[in-house]
Amino acid sequence: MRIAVWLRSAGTKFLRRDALAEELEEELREHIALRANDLQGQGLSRAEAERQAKIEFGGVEKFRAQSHEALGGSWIELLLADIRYSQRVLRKSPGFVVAAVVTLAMAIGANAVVFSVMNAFVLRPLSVPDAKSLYELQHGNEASSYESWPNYIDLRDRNHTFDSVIAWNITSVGYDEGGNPTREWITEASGNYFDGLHLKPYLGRFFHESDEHGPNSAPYIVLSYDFWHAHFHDNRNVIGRVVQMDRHPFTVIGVAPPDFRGHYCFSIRISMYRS
Amino acid sequence: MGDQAQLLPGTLDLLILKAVSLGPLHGYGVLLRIAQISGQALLVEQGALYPALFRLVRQGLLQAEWGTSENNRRAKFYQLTAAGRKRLQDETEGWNRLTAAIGSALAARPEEV
Repeated sequence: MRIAVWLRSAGTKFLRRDALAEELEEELREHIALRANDLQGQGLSRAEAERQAKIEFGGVEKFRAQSHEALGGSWIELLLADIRYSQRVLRKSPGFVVAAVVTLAMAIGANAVVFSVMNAFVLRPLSVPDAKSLYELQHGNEASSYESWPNYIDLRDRNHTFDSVIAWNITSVGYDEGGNPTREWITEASGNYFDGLHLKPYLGRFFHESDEHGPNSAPYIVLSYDFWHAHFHDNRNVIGRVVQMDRHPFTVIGVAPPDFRGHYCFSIRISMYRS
Repeated sequence: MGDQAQLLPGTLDLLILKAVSLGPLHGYGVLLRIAQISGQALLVEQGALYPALFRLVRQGLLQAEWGTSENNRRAKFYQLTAAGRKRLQDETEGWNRLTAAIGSALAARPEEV
């Protein structure tokens, strides 16, 4: 009941807003005109008297806002008026706006960089054994380290320098465990991914190089600990369950260790590892 | 406007009620009346008058009616309501008590303490 009354009064106020504002303007205009008359009577020219009257009146915008408030204007109107006022003021000093925006942007950017580095190296260091001996391969003259699969096979099979060579790709898939598909980020990985990183599963098992027998031969996924925790509520019977990724069936074979969030330093949240 | 005193906070409402109690006035008239009855001694910031007037109207102490100014244009005239008259009386008594108390405090001499 009380809400209905309030709504009606707010509604009326809103409709009457223009009328009220117009009355206020009229009243202030009349005040300044009368004051100008008196000043003119004291010997000023009409133009000078009007100028003087406006100066004496003071900050019209400030008193207009206060008057509106005193008249019971709603806070939305006042907020809109404030926004319009700030836009006007800001437009008058573009140099200040540019300086402020650039300052904010640089400060936020610098903070983000510092946080990312802190997060990657201090808060969440690469949680694989012997992280120092992990290297990323890259052609000398290319900024990217993408390789075709056959290239990778060659690199892996002819490798005499490293313990092992793993391949991975971060991508997103349509993930469906029954009726409610969602988009999830996953790491697609070669069969030797976990063995190459010297990781042991938290639950179940990982896929291995020996599981690979050509394309689509190993439709297995390993869940990240966080994903398992959030989606399966730490249910240990998840092993062996079949889920759909981009409408292809994959078998959940294991869960990665809790502190493993992908081998990549600046890692986005990776939900699953797919062979 | 010369050698005038700034208003104490909270006294503007009282002065407006007093000015209007002497007869209906429009905004500028309130300003002139306050200057007149204070012997040109009190300075009211012109713009600040209106928020105060509207607040008093909202509190039901004043009522506003459109009339014609000496400029022969539409102007809003303010007059006291019954509640406004009562408030003026209460505040006048309160003010007199306050000034009497402060006056006697400031007049105190060492031998009286």
